[in-house]
Amino acid sequence: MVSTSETKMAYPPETTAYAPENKMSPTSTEGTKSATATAKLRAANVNFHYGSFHALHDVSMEFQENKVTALIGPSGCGKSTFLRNLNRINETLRDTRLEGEITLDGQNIMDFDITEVRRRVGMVFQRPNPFPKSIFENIIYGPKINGMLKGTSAAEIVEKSLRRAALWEEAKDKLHESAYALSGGQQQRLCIARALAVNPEVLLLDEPCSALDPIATAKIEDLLVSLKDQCTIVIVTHNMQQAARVADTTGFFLMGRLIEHAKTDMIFKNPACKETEDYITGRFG
Amino acid sequence: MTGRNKYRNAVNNVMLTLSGICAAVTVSMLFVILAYLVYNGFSSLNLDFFTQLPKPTGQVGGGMANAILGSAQVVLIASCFGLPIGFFAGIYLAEFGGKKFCMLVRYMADLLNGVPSIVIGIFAWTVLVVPMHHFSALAGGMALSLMLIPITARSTEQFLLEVPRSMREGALALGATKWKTIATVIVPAARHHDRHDSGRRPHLRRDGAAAVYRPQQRILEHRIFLADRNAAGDDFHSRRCSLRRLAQAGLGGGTCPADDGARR
Repeated sequence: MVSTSETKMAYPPETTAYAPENKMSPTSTEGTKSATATAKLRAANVNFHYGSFHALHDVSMEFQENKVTALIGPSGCGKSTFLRNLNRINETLRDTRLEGEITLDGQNIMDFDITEVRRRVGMVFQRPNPFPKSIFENIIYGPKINGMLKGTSAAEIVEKSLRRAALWEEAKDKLHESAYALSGGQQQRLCIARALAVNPEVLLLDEPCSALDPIATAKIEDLLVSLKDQCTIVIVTHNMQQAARVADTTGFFLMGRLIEHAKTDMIFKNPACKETEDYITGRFG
Repeated sequence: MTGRNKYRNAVNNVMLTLSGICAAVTVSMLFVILAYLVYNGFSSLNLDFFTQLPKPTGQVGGGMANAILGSAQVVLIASCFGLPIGFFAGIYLAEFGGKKFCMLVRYMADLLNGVPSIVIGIFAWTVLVVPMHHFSALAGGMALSLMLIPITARSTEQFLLEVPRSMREGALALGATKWKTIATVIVPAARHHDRHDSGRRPHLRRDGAAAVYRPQQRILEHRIFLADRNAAGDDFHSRRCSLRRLAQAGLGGGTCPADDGARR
């Protein structure tokens, strides 16, 4: 494990730019309690390999509590790979290797039980992936396997989660029907509700709107903004307007490197790096 | 309509008609046999057929009670041993195993699958019938279970691999353990997938039925040499699927059966 920190990562970052020719000197930290007080989730010098392919290069990034962070960049730049490391879901892939340190509330996520990390850091995937069960059973699945039903009514959890995901009104009369009876947008909101049912502290979303129409996309964006009071959100998106609409800070990835991470306004109006500007203005990617 | 279009439509119609005729000929053979059986055999179907023992050759009457009961016993014993072992082996192959060990298990399963039934019969004879000094449903059941194991294992593996990776990750991302994911999401999803998909892809339905039916068929119909005429595993979708995956790999299509594979 590499244990380093970069001094320019304090929030709110005016800008954090990757500069290969002028690398910031890493300073050693003591143990894993190195995160700043406000950072919910923090990655330090993360490198990731798919077999012999080096997919992420020294990515360091902080995610502030109750903020939405967007990760943007061209296809294959490593943003999804990075996101999937934040809840260790990449460990399900064979022949992969992670180096560096990722901390949740200052504690290395490798020190947690893997199921605990994934309960605390929920994830919503690119395509809706409801289980072949009823809507009710989909929502209650997480609380059930995590032993969270003691003292709480399952129906209560289902209603609360569906309300948080803005799906209650549409689904309340068909809770015991198959989840596949819902439309694509509703299924994705069901997946968000399912993730919310275990009360995650961080919610990771990997291009959650890429398969949805503009109306469903708008609903999910509204949902994200309303959810940030309850959890920290990290969203990977190809849609720059979406990043501009929902994110407090935005990170730009290119070829496995975090080029720039700054307030969303800064990224879109006054990027520090030429690569970011080129991408934002559509000159490549 | 231009001449070119007329020609294309004519070819289309001729080929459709030809394939229809061939399909009708194929099915009609089955119907002729069934009709012959019903015509000649229906009058013999009565309660005695199911409840009486066979009469000696030349005598009229009797039934097949012993064969029906014996078959049920053999199938029950074989299912009790063969299905669980094959099922869990299939889960291991699809979800847990390492590359090299799995390849070895698959190879062995396919090899066992191709072993002629007579060899398995001799094995059961040597191990069970000779020490027990008599034939028994147990010996038959154990022989059948040996045939069931590789077929069930490979079919289970194939069904589980058909479940999209996103489904697995969805459960794991909620904090489920791997076993919980398999037991509560993957296996039900594979069953659901089979139910909803086999209409579109009939080989899946056939494969599921084959896992239980085919070895039983060999023994119940006393057609123990039937398997020997087929190439090892030729009947089974799982084998074809392995070949398909190898072909895909050779063509640069990758070998991952999941829908979305590794994201980068």
